[in-house]
Order: sequence, then structure tokens, then C-alpha cells
Amino acid sequence: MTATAGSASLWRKAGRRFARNRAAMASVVVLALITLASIIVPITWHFGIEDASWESILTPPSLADGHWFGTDANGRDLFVRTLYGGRISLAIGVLTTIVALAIGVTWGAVAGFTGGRVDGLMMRFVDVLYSLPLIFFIIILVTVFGRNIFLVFVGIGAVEWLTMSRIVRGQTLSVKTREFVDAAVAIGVSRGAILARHVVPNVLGPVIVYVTLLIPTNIIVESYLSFLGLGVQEPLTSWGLLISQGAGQLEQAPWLLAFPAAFLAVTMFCFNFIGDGLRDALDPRDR
Amino acid sequence: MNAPLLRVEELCVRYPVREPGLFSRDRLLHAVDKVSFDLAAGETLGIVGETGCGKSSLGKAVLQLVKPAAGRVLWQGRDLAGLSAAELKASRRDLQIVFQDPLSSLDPRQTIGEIVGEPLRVHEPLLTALERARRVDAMLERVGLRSEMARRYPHEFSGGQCQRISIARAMIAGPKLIVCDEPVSSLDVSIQAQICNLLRDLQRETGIALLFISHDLSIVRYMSHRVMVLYLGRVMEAGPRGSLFSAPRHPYTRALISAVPEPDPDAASLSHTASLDGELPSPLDPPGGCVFRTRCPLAVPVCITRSPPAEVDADGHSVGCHRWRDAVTS
Repeated sequence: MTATAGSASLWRKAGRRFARNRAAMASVVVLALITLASIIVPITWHFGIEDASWESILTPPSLADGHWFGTDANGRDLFVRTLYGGRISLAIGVLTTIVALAIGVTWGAVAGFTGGRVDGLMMRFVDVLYSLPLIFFIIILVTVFGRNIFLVFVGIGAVEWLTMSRIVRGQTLSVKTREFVDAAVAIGVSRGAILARHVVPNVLGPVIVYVTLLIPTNIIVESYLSFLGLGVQEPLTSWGLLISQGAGQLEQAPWLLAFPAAFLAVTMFCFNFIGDGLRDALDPRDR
Repeated sequence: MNAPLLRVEELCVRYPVREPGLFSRDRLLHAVDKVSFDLAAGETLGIVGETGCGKSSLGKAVLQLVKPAAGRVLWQGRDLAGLSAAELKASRRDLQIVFQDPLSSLDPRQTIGEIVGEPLRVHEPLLTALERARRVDAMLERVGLRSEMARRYPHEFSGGQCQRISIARAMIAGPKLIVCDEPVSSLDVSIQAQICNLLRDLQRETGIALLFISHDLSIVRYMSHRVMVLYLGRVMEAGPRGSLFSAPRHPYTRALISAVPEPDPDAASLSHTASLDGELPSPLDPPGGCVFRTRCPLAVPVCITRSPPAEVDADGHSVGCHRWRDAVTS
């Protein structure tokens, strides 16, 4: 067995265990439907996201006139806007988390495994960045580079990896004292290979769980940035932006809050169920 | 006797210990202090001592898993500390270790096949996957496991089976020395015997040398050709198994041996003068002179002022005690 074949067998088994978890599988299906819908619907729907209409301002949801989720104060169709917002929210959630995952796992694993002065330096650097509030960071980025959705990705990704690196470092510190690491050194396995083959697979469990918490967190962070006018700009939209706009018109038009909030909540649930399922599947010890 | 496979000269291992407080300096814990021994091919050296006497540190320092603070480890005449990274990696093929905790020494994320095959992947990278799997299967069967177990994970096995897996991993690349760091201490007595016999069979077949670390005198007596007794990181007594167990010289060895439960109530045990009182002193602050004096029934003023030199006889039986002659006759 080679390295890849060996790890593939682990993943295959994990996949089989995951498939037996009903809540997780249902969540995957729901999440896939939401994702697909938010990709396809804005392209094919008979209203565009910017199609305003004087005739239908703040109409309640109705199947008859084609505005399934109703319309907003500008007469724009909420259904298409909700799904378009899902596109942006999901993209931001997933991409920023991938950025955080890549930087955080590498940084934390190297710091924890190397130890000593290198570890101290690397983690003090993390502390310094921690002390810098996210909002300042984004404001600085926006002032320097102007408003751009790309900055939201960079800003969130650059800050959210800090917690990830701390989690991974802590796990690495505990894994590296386990005797199988000593055994690998005694065999003559190189340090990089020990890190990749023995340490990182053993810290993945908590990382996966944190990832499933991080995606919804980043979606929320994006929404408050948008609310402050630093994130997504009209006429583009996201769930967070739709929710904050809907909350302002709760009394006249409750559907403006209800539908985006429901989509956001269902998405959060799905990520959490998938996270639980992945954690159970990846850890061969607990069933 | 052949030229020694392994020669350890005045080996010292020290760990920095951080004192509580803001401005305190690190102190050094002397885990192993000037330990020397030789080990020949096919020979087993047993290392006994209480918990915390530096047995495991000694084993790890021999393999360079902890860096010795002083002294030399000569493997086939070459100092391991002076080797380049590539040379050290190559010699790791000859030097293997079996740990005490059966489960912790196996990576829970890898299958048994991957675990046992890892030394081959490192040292024989040209081997095809199929050949490697065949070698793993043969090795598993050699240590008393079934080859289809290669696809399973460590948590599915009992402690004794995990220890067999560790032994298979240590043996597969054809080592010349295995450090056995309390390999049977966490196992049931019946399983202990199986594992001990497996190690002895493997030694007889392949001529490997064993450094057998244990706190259990009966097992060390069963396994070893020679025995070394450690106390607070120092060698108290060392010698051939026969004379060390039948005629122990150091008061500490005598106390250890008299503490072994004797299953036969009629059998004569050693004199009871040798029982041990008190606690093991802190290795951070070992007693001056002879380290054993605080618990020694025979201690006299000279033991406080002067550390006893090792006295070696013609059989290679050495003892580090000012009063061992009195201990033997008392």
C-alpha cells in the first residue's frame, strides 16, 4: 500500500460510516439542493434580482402572481434575491473557511510539532493578530483598496485562521507526546512525513468540527459586515443583508425576514449535522 | 564474547525543569547519570529499577530519541551523535523500540498493515506495494497474528495483540537491537509470558540483541543474560544474571530481590535485614555521596562524603557500594 492508497482506505471507511448517519445524509441532500438552487435559479427565474416593479411593492408571498416569497420595498422578487443571496453567503462561508483551514492547520501543526522558540514566535504572532479587531482590519482594507467583495474574503480568511491554528497546535502538542510518534522517529520516518502521516490525521477530528462551526460563523460575519456597509453592496445581496433589511420592515412585511432567515437557519443546521457526522465517521474509535 | 554491538559510555540524560515563579531559572533533572555498558549480538541486558529511576530515559537516549547530555553511544563502533542525518536514518533500521503502552504506540488512524509496513516504506522504498504487503503478512503470522488483520485498526485489538503488532513493526526491517521499554508491564500475567517467549524465540532465530527494561525482577530474570540495577539514574550493580540473583552484592539489589513475592512458603528468602524504608528521593535533588544512602540500612558517614566507585570482579559483576562486603555477610 502506498501513502495515498493507505489514506484512501481510511477515507473510504469513513465515507461508509458517514453514509449510515441519516441526519448527516439528509443534511447533505438539503444543502446540495440549496446550493444547486442558488446557482441555477438566479439564471433561469422569470424575474431578475434587479427587476423592480411599481405595481408590486411589498406584495405578500403568493403562488398566483409568481412572487413565491413576495416582494420587497422596490418590488423586487424575494425568491430570486434569497437564492442569489445564498450564492454569495455560501461562497463567502466556504471560501473563507478554506483559506482559514489551509493557513491555520499548517501554521498550528508546524508550531506545535517544532516546539521551543519557533513555537513561541509563531504563537505570539497569532496573539498579535488576535488583538487586532476584525472590524478594524476590514475598515483598513476597505479604506486602502476601496469596496470590493474580494476584500471580505481576504479579511475574514486572514482573521479566522487564528483560532484554527490554536486548536491545531494544542492537538499537535498532545499528539506528539504519544508513543507512536516516538516509534515513527525510531523507525527513521522524516519529520515532514511524521507531521503529514501521523500528526495531521490525528488532529483532523476537532478541525472538522471547527470547520462546520466556522462556515456558518463566517456567513454571519459577512452579514454584519454587509449590515455596516462594509461587505456586500446593493444591488448584490446576501442572506445577512436581506435579513438586516427584512428586520427593518418586520411589521409591514414579515416575509422579508422570514424567508432569508429560514434559509440561513436550515443551512446552519445542515452544516452542524454534517459536522457531527464527519466527526463520528473520521474517528474509528467511537461508534 | 564478540566485539560489542552497542557500547554506552558514561551516558547522561538531563531534563530542564522549570521552577514555579517568574524569575527562577531552570533546574536540571539528572535522569541518567554516567551509565556505561556493553551489549553483544544475541544478548539480552535487563535493566531494572523503581519507577522514575531513568530506565526509559536510558533506552530512549540509546536510540537518540532524547538527546544525551553527555557520554557516547557507540553503535558498531560509531558514535550515533556524530552521524549525519542520512547515516542516522540508515542506522535506525538496526535499532528499534517496543513501548510499554500497547495502544498509544500504534497510530489509531492507520491500519495494522500500514503500521507494520512503515519501516519497509522508509528503508526499502523500492519495494512494490504487493511485496510489502506480503512481507507484512509473513511478519504478522510470525508474531502469532493472522494476516487478514492487516486491514484492521489498532483499537480492534487487545493489549497483547497490540504488543505483538509493535514487535512485528520493530522486527520487519531486520533490526539488530530492540529496546524493550517495559513491553509487558501493562499486560495480564498469562499474556506477559506469551510476549516474553515470543521475544526469546525471535532472539534465538535472528540473533538480535535486546535491551530489556522492566521493574519486574522475575521477568528480567527470565529474559536476561545480564542485569543492570539502576537507582536515581545511577548504576548500583550490574552483572551476569546468575550471580546477580543468587549472590546480590548491593544492599539495594538485595532489598529489591527480597521484596519479590516468593510463591513457595517453605523456600528460604534472603535475609530481612535488607528491607527498604522511606521514599525515593527527588531526582532534582539527589543525596550527595552515595545516592542510595538515605534509604540504606548499612549507611555510614563515608557514604555521605564519597560516591562509591564501581568495583568489578573477573566475571564482570560490578557493584557501587562502600559496604557491599558487609551487606553480603550480614
